[in-house]
Amino acid sequence: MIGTRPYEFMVKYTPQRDWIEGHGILIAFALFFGGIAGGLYLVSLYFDSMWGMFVAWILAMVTGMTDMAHLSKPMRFWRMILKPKSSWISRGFIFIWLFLGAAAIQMAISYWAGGTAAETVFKVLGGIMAFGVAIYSGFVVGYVGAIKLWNSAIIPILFVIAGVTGGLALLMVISVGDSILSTDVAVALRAVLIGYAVCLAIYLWVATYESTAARDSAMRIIKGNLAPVFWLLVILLGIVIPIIMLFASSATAVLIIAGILVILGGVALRYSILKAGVYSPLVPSE
Amino acid sequence: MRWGMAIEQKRCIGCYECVLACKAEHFLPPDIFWNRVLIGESGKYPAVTKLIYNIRCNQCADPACVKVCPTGATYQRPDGIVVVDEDKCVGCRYCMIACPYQARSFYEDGNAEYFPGQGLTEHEKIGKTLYPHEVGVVQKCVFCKERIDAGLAAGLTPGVDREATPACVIACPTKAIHFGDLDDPYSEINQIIKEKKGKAFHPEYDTQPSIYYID
Amino acid sequence: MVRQVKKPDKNKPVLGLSVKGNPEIWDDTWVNTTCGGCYGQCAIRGHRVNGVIVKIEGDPNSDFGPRGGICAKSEAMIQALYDPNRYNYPLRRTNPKKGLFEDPKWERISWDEALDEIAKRLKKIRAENPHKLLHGGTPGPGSGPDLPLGFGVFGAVFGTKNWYVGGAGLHCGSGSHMGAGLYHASWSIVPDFKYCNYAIQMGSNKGTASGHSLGFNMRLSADARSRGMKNVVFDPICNFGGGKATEWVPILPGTDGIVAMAIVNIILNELNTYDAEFMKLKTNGPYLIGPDGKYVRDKKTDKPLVWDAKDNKAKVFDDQSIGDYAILGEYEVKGLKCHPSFQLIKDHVKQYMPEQAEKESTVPVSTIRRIAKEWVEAAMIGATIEIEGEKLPFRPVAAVMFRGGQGHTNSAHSYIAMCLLNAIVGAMDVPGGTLGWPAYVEGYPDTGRFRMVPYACKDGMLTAGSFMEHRPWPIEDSQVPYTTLMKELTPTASFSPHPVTSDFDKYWDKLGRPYEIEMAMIFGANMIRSTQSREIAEEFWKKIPFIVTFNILPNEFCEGFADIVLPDLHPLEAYCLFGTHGPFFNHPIGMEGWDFPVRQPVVKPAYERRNKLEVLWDLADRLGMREEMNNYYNVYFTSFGGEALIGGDIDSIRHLGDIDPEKVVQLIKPDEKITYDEMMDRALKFYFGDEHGLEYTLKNGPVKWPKKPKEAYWRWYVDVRIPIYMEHIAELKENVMKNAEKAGIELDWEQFTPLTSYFTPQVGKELSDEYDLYSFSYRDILHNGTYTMEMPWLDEVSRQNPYTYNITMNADMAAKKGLKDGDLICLESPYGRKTTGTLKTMQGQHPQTVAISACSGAWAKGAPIAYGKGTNFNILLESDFKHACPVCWSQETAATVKVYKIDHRIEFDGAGGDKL
Repeated sequence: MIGTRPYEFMVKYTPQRDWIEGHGILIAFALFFGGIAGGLYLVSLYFDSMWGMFVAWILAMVTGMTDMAHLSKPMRFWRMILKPKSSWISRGFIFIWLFLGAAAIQMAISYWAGGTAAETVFKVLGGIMAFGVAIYSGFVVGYVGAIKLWNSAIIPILFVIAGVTGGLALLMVISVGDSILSTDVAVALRAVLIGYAVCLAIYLWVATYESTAARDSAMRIIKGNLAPVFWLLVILLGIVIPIIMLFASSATAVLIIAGILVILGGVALRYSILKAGVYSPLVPSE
Repeated sequence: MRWGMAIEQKRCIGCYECVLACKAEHFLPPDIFWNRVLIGESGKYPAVTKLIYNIRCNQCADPACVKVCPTGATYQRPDGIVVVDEDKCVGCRYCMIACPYQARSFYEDGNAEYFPGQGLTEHEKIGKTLYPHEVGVVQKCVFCKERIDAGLAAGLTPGVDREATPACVIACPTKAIHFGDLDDPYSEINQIIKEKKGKAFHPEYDTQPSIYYID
Repeated sequence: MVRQVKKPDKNKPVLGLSVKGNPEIWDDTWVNTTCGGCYGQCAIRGHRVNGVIVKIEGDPNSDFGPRGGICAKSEAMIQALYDPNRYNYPLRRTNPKKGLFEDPKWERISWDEALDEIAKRLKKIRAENPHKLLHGGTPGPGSGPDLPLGFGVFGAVFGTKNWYVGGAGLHCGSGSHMGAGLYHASWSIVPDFKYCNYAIQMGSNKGTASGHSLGFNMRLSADARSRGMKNVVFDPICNFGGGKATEWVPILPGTDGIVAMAIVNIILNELNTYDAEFMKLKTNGPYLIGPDGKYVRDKKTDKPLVWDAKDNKAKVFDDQSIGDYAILGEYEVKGLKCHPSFQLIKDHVKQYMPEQAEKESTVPVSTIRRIAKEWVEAAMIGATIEIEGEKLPFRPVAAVMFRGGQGHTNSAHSYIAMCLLNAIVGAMDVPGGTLGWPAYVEGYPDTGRFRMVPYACKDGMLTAGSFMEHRPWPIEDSQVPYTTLMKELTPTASFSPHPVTSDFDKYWDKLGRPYEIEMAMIFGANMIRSTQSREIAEEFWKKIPFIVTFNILPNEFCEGFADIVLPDLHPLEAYCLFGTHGPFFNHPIGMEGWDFPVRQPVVKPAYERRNKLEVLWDLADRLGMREEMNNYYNVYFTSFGGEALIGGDIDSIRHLGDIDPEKVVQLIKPDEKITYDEMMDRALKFYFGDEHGLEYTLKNGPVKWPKKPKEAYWRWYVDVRIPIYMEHIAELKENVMKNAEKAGIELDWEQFTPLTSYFTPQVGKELSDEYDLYSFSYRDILHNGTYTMEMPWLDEVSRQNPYTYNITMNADMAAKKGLKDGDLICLESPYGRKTTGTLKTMQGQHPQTVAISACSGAWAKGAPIAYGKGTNFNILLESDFKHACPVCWSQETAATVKVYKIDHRIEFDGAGGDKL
């Protein structure tokens, strides 16, 4: 199942390496930050939390910085907005910049001129851009026809739901000072976690019979070398235990721990999906 | 005009000279390969066939890599050759991820030596003046565009005249690789593909590869 | 030298070189030369830019090679040339200890110091007993005629007969060289790819792996495959040869002979079809054999007798009045019952039933029967073809065997069995059939020189116009051994494993230890890794007081055992006259043109590296040997000049006294001290005319001229026969046995039979429940000898290949033994020899076998790229008479082993490098 010996390159299922090994791990974080930045902003709009919006803005900036840190020629980053016609990374970068602009303006307006029509306009604009920030990484990954696990219609949806989940978790942690808000967020998080779990299950299940390559990837996650990371971090610590905790109590400590676990699970999710991606062999063997 | 190749599987013996001719021609650094030889088997003992595939960038007519490049560093020439502009590439590697044939390489370690710890040989040194590679960008087979362009400028025919033909094509000792213009219905390569039933390589990726394999 | 800096001309593109930007190019030169990657010696062009070699390509204008293409080894020569680990200066060992893993602690010395010391020791030895000098090596990165011109002649003049070609008979095959010499006047055989329709390969890689004629074979065999030639490959592994087969037939190592005999049996006795005319006129099939197994000879002329079926009486074989040769029946001559040898063969092969062949080899009966039928049908007995106006017999079938098939203790008989397959359908040196490398050269049309013609000799048998190493015909007399190689005991032997064997001392003691080897001069070889059993080799080499080696790259032998290392030239910085010992060695076959590529430096030699022949001449001057050597050279060159004065083989050079000095052209005056390129110039002018000397050749390329059909397909143009009944072995046996007794040597005397038979190889006898698998090694196209693993490009692609650096096993057998891909395993022979490596399972491998490609597993500290890569197969082999063919002395190249998992690479314990 390992398929990493040099002579097995494209002769057995070949795991992708450029977006997970060495500097590549930053892509996992970039995907995560993008999701949680967009998700946090959206849930902050819903729950009307200025702090949430602010942290979301910071996280969007971090997304951009993480992407740039992954580049080997970061000084040329400005070129990356040049191909929105065909490249989802270009589109994503544009979304991030537009979001940073719209959200900054929106926060300024909300702070100094709250309740105006302008605030609503920019909240809507910010929200749309935030959605773009949350979903674009799903399309970046989903557009890759060469990796069957990724090339799924479900993945952008999964990434948005994961982003919203992460956003709710982070908002919950930020707002422990306000018990009404944090409890509301916790209730929402419980429900969304279940939805996230269902979406993830469907995604993996469909992958097992979509194609042999997707199946190979899914098996790496479910039974293979990624199983410990997946079952422990993504499922147990990232979904199951938080759900149980949130149904059991609303204590501050519980909320904080549950929130952090969900966030951890979110990082592990992006990592697992990236690492499990394989290319189909060009040459059959045995 | 669209440059393409046809590879006769019966002729190929898996000698790896196509791989090394390319490495020599472009002074490729250690661990970088613009083309490869993949070895597999089909069948069960004792009815077994050895499979040898020489693969490189397919210079697809509808390349996935060009579409995903955010900076436009990867682009396609009018003659079909897909090229990376080393001055524009940021090293995001999206193109490498997107290629279903895994044809691209990333030049990471600019200090890599063929004899580690023993400095660069005369050969490696002159390589850095004749064909320098920018560190931190993506590189791949370009159908020896420098040879093609210089050859055409001098009135030579790529695929016929050695100097104008890609290095791997002229290096093959069994003449397994043919090179020519796929857009020319009367070209030798089109005739070979038609007569010997050449098949595009893994057409299911819908990239329209320009390299055909003949069983 | 003032560099003329050429400003890059933006309008004039640089052709034939990928260039980025506008770098300064003040030197852009293509140099025609020859490759030194393997015995192929293909014609190549080296591209030099600004004084550095940047590319190697095949010469598109030469038939001597792939015509423009080349193989990977050739390209990688660039890295060997510039390898920072190369020997650049003479070195002296300061660590007195010698052994497998000893650090020599080299000290740099001057050439004068080195040569003074070597000459001093040589003088002493020559005065006492020149046989105390052991010299040799394998031609390695192709020394071509440097082999005889250098070491052969040096040794002959010096007076030693101890010439040891390490690894020969192991990496090649004494059975092949004996058999091909005897039947084709050639070093080996290959299908006539241009016309062949059905080829059988038994343990051979024609056009798929390294060796003589790889270059043009790659090209010709690819054309043949493309055309649809059937290629049936008998091989335990489906990798190189098997990988390009139209039918791969798995077979147990060492059993090819019995399959060949079974096929011959079916053809002769069931299908009852054979080329009677060929038998009658081209073999000793009609020669009458008496009850003692030998020819019935005419008392007066001593010539063998045949039976004239028309006149119904016995006549000498070359009697012009013979109406029809009888090849069947029983006759009475002078009261003796006798039979034509063909009748005896036909009856003798009846015992080789396909069922027995299946039992021994695991090749199914149905396959054997089917191939026999297909063979005979495809042979088209009686067909003719017209080539360039000449009508020739057309037999488009060819059965060839090389290393693997005959690399066992039944070597000679296995090879002859396969030759029988060709002989019975007349497919020898005719269009479409089995061709030897060119044995017939009429000579350059303008001068008539470089002429080599096979002719009939004793008993009308085929005799080569030129050969080397041993004389295939006429067979010399057996002698009591007096050299440490002891080859003179059995004149049918090509190469000998002695004295680097575990039983040599026993025999030398019995002979009274006439002398000890006190010095060895070895070039271009790795006597500790290219040869069988490094443990046995270590014991031998450790004892020799003084060893000198000429090498390009450090290897285990130099480091462990050499006292002085002299830095050799890499082929890319050297001259060499031709790339061949003679056309019979590696020239293009069939109607491919005559072509004599020469080697010239693409770059000037760096540091203090020197041409080894000039070094030998330096030594010769110090020993007062130069005049005699010059005389030998004159004889050597003249012998290709018109008359076959000498055979070209090293031994016949020693019969200088028999040659009429009037016939020798004096190319070199006795007292002249010429350089190597001067010698090339004179030789080229002598052969090809005064206008075609070295300067002309280097500028315009070597002379070329077309081959005639009678040269390409000479069999029916020369009145010669071949011994399908090996009567000479019957004649030899008694004396060999008598002489062997004096040395206490026991050989498998059963194999000294004139009738081709099958004998279970030693490896088969060592099979047991515990040691239940056959292990063998095979040639890889990426590697040659032991130096190619040091070239980084070759190392890189070797790691990308699933088989080159791994040990392979059949997938089912591996599963049965609880082994899987990636496991570190150990192979252990019944003698306790162990080697380790990484497992890769295959479908395309015989379940009872374990295979290792080439011979890797380097441990020399001076070869850092090669260190620890791949597996050293030769560790598993034994080196003694028990593991050698008694008739031709080829080595047993397979070993039975048991396989188990291991935690580290034990054969590297003590090597001192990284832990493996």
